[in-house]
Amino acid sequence: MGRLTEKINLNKLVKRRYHTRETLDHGPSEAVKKAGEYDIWAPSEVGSSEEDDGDSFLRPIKKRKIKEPPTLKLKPSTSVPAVAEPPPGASYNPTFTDHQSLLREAHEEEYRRVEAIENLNSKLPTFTEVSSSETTAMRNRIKRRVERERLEAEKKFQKKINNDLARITDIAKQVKTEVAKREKKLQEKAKLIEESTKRPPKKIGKYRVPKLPIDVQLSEDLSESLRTLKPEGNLFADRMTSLQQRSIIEPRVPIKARRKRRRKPTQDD
Amino acid sequence: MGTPKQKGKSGAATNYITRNQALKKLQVTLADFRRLCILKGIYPREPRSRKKANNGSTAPATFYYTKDIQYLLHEPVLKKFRENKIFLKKLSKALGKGQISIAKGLEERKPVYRLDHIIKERYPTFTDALRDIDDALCMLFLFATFPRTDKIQISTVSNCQRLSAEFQHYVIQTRSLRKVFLSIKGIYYQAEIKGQTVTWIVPYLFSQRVPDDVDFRVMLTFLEFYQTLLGFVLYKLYTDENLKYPPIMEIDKDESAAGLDALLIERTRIEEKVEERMKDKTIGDNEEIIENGQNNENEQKLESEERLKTLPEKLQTIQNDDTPSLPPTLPSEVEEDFSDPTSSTPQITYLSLSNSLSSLATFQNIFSSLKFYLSREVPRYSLEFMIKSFGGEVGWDSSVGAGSTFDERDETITHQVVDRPNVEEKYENRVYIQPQWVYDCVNARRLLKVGLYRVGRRLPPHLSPFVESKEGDYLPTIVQEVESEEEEEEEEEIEQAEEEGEETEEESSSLEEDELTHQKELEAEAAGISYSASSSKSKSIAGTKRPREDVNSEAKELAKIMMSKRHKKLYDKIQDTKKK
Repeated sequence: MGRLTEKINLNKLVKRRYHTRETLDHGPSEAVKKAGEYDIWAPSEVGSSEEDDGDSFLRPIKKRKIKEPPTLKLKPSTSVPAVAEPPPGASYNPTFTDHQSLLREAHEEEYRRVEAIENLNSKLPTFTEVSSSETTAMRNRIKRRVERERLEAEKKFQKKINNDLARITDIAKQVKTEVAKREKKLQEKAKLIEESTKRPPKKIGKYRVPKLPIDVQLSEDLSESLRTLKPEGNLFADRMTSLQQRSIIEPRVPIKARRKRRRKPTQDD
Repeated sequence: MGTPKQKGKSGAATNYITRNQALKKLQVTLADFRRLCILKGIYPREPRSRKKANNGSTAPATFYYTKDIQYLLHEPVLKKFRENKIFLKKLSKALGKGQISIAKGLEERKPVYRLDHIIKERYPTFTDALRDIDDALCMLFLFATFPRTDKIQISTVSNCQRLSAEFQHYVIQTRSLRKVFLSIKGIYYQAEIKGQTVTWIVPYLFSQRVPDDVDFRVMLTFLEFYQTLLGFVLYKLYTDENLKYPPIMEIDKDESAAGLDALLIERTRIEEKVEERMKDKTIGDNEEIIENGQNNENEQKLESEERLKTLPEKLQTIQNDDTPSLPPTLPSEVEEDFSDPTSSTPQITYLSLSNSLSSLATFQNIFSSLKFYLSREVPRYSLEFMIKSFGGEVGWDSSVGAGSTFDERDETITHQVVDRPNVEEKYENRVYIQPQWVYDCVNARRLLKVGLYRVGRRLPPHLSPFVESKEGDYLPTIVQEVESEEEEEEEEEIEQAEEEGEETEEESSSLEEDELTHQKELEAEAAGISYSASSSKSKSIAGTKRPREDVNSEAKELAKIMMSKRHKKLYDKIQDTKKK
């Protein structure tokens, strides 16, 4: 009996975990179990004793220490804190104004989302009736119209140049202001770019970084007391999103296992 | 002219490496690579131009710094991953052949890895680790309440519970909790540990649904790392406070849901000896303390006098004291010395320092000398932690869990926390309050009037302590407190008039009850500031003007020192003429 359970346990170790719905977890690992047995930050006294016997001409063979690259300590520059401070409206018993402002925020977010979807839908091509084949007369008419329009545009341009020549100093001034304006705009843009580096990235790898949802309860859902409180939101999802926003991990989309087509039984089987 | 630059041999093209290239270089599976990146703290990077980083291709890809990946090649854990792969191959082969004994032998020599060196590398100093502990705490507290599913093993959950309980004990011991916020998501706590602000969120019990779209392999890898990190951090925190780590878990208590009480906090040997010399009392035993609860004040006086003699060396030990005792600041007599008007300049700073310290100490002990009893329906896991970290005593219904040191009939209970709309107030000498009072008191940093929080009353809004209130802001608790006071006074007046008319001598009239509770509040408020602070307060009331004058004269003195010789002479002359 003991032998059998042993075998089952061993089998569990071998099995490729991610194809089954079995536990992904094997309990606390050795690293976890041994944590907290000594002071890891205590200054170590190793090295000084080794250097003492420097008299011997044969230096002890030391393992070469690999220097860590400077890039390792570079944290992704986002201003997102590990635990975002909760908005005051997220209190279980908020003040009216706080709650309303949070509600408005959530509403705007939702509105934007819906609008984006509608916008996308409106851009989809719609079927229109294709006009029937043109006659030669129609084609000629179009040709003539295009020609006429071209000539008119040329005339207009010539007229404008003539006018501009008259007030060239004015134009020079205008150009100067225009250039200054543009420079200012460029500076502003540079500033914006710098700020955007601090914001969580929109995309890492293939997928977009999700936003933290604004968790809010409608006024009628708010509880009177702590006992009747219905918690909102999901902390697991929040943790995951937070990690992605700080670009500690890349966002991923679960890929559903493709269903295999069942083979029809043939006579060979 | 040097050699011409070749395309793709420098700059972004060599600084970045795509994930697939990294996999090829390290010869690991994607799953192992992800684990390794999480453990080592290697993050995906976004190059300024994808095109330049990826040989002209703009296809979506995840990039890493090439040097990071190069460094990963030397990682011992990577080696262990490979060994594990081989081990699994051998094991499956043995099992396939039915060679159980060989399989068993292999299992015994299973490769195991440690994360110590990674923690040391990622957090070279202890402060670095403390700064990054928010994440770890959130994760551990979250997994400590993990429902029983096939995704996780119970041993992992119980380890998370152990670590979070140990952390809470540390916070209680050092009185380092500062803010708390009941949000609709969970309970936010903020503590100050060794100068670092630590924030974490604890879910409400039984409320977390496990979502399907969260990748648990990733979460579990983080969890593994954070468990290790917190183990080391807790060791350091405990040993710095001269506490034994790990604290002993009392298994029978733990099984009967004693919660925080299941852990037995012990002092280290040396510390114990010192304490024993100072007082004949064992430390760390809760029951002892409660027995002594009655004599606490007298004892405190004695202790403080004794401690005064050995103040400089023992400041540390006082702060570590297990009992809800003296604040770690200077006792009153010493404070008096500091406010001496004849003292010289640097003592201004001492004065302000001691003031701020004593205010912190009163805050840290706002619930000392209060005794709470929790009804069944209130969240014990939070309230017990809160009350204990501000020096209060708690007991609860035995049906909730073991470990309560007193029951509902105890006469010394001052507050009963109740969260039901109508409760019969059985005992007269205690106040029946709703749980929000405890949280609001902590955020207000003082004991609030209980009137608003009585059972059945509509609670004032629970404000977020994370939003700094400016002067002139509307603060409902304060406003309503004033209103309620007025209301109560009016009620009292009416009742008085009635009583005068009736001239009856009923014992348990509502007026007397009100008076009783009011008296109690006053007492509690006075006592909440604890022995030393209250005495210092009375002193400061007696001579409120003196310190300010003192400060002014000191400031003048200071300014004089800073003057140039010429100006000083001029100033003296002016003063002389003034005197004349």
